Amino acid sequence: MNTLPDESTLARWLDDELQGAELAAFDASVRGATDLLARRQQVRAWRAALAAALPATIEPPYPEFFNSRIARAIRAQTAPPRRLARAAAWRTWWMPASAAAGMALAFWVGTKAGGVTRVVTVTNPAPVPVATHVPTVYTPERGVDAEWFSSSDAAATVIVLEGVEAIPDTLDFAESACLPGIGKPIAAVEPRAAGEVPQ
Amino acid sequence: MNKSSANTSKRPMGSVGPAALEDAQDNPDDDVRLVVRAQAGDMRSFDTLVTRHRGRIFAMIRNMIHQEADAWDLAQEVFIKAWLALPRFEAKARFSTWLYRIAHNVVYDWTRKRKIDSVGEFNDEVFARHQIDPAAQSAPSAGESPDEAMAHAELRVKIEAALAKLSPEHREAVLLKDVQGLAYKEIAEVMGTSIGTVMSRLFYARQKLQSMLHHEYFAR
Repeated sequence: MNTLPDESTLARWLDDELQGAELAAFDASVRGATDLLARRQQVRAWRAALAAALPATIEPPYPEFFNSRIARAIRAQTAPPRRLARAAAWRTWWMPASAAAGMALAFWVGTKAGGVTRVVTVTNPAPVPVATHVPTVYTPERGVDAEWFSSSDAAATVIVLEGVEAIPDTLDFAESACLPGIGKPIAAVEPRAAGEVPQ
Repeated sequence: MNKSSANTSKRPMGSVGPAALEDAQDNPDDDVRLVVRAQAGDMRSFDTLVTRHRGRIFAMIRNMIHQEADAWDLAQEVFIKAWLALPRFEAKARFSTWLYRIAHNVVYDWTRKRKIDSVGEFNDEVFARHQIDPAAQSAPSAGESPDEAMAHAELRVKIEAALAKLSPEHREAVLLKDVQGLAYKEIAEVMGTSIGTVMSRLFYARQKLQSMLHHEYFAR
C-alpha cells in the first residue's frame, strides 16, 4: 500500500488548507509522522512571524482623499459622451477667440502702462472659505498638469502637480527667491505692518 | 449597464470608517450585496467597497513595489479599473480575489513601464527595499510598547529587505499566501498560473527567505 501523500495534498495540509473529511483522512494517514508534524509547525511559525511583521491591512494615507479621488476619476471617465462632444465643439471657437482677445488686451495694457510701476498692497484680505473658492490653476511649464481638490469636511485644499521635475537638494530657496528690483532674499525682508505701503 | 445613470451620492466619500467595517471585511456575502448594487450604478455601495478593501490592496501593492506614494496612486487605479470592469464581474471568485487580480495587473504594467522609461539603467531598483521610509505614516505602530514596536520595526525592515531580493513572482506568492492569507487556488487565479506553479514558487520563496533571515528566524 502506498502511504506517501501526494505533493499537492501535502502542501495544502502543511498550509492548513485542508478541511472536513479531507483533513480528517489526511490527519489519520500521517498520524505518528513526527517529521511531517514538525514541518507543519515550522510553516505555521513562519506564517505567524511574517504576519506579525507585515500587516495584511495598511490604511492608505489620507483615506478620505483616497476615496474622493477615485470617485472623481470615475465621474470623469463615465461622463456622458454627448456632453463631452458639446464641450469640444464649444472649445473650437471659444478658445482661439479668448486667446486673441487676451493678447489684444495685454498689448493695450502694455501701451498704456509704459514705464510706470504700480505697487498694489492687499491689506487684510477677506478670508476665503474653503471649498467655495475655485482657483484658476496655471502651469507655465509644458508637460506639467495641475489638479485641484477641495474638501470642506477636511477643511483642506490640495493642488497636485504632475510632471514637475524633482527639486535638487542643493537648491537654497532663500538665495534663489528674491523680490524683483530689491535684490534681497525674501527671508531678509522685514515684515511690514498691515496697510503700510513700501517706499 | 449604463454607468452614466450612476447614483452619485452626496454622502462624504470614505465616511464608512474602516474600524466599523473590520469585522465584516472578510464576509463575502456583504461584498456580493454591495457589488450587485454597484453594478446597478450605485456609487455609494462602490465607495463602501473601496473603504472595505483599500487597506488590503494598498498593503499588497506597497509591499510589492516598496514606494508609498506610487502605491497610493496604483491602489486608486485598481479601484478605478474595478469600477470600469464591474459589469463583467460574475462573482465566480470572491470580490477581494478579483481586486488582487487587478492589482497584480496594475503593478506589473507599472513595473514594465518603469523598465521602459529607464532603459539601460534598470537593475531591479524599482523593487529596492531601502527606498521605503521607516517612519512613513503607514508603518504599523498601534497597540505596541516602544520595545515591541522597535523589535517589530527592525524585523520588518529585515523581512522587507529580504523580500526585495526575491523575484517579483516569488515575492507576490509569499505576500498573497503568508501575509494576505489567500488559498493556493485563489493565488493561482490572481497570478494567472496553475496551482502547481504557485506551490513551487511558494516553496522556493520561503526557502530563500528563511536562508536570508536565518539569524532572525531561528533566534525566535
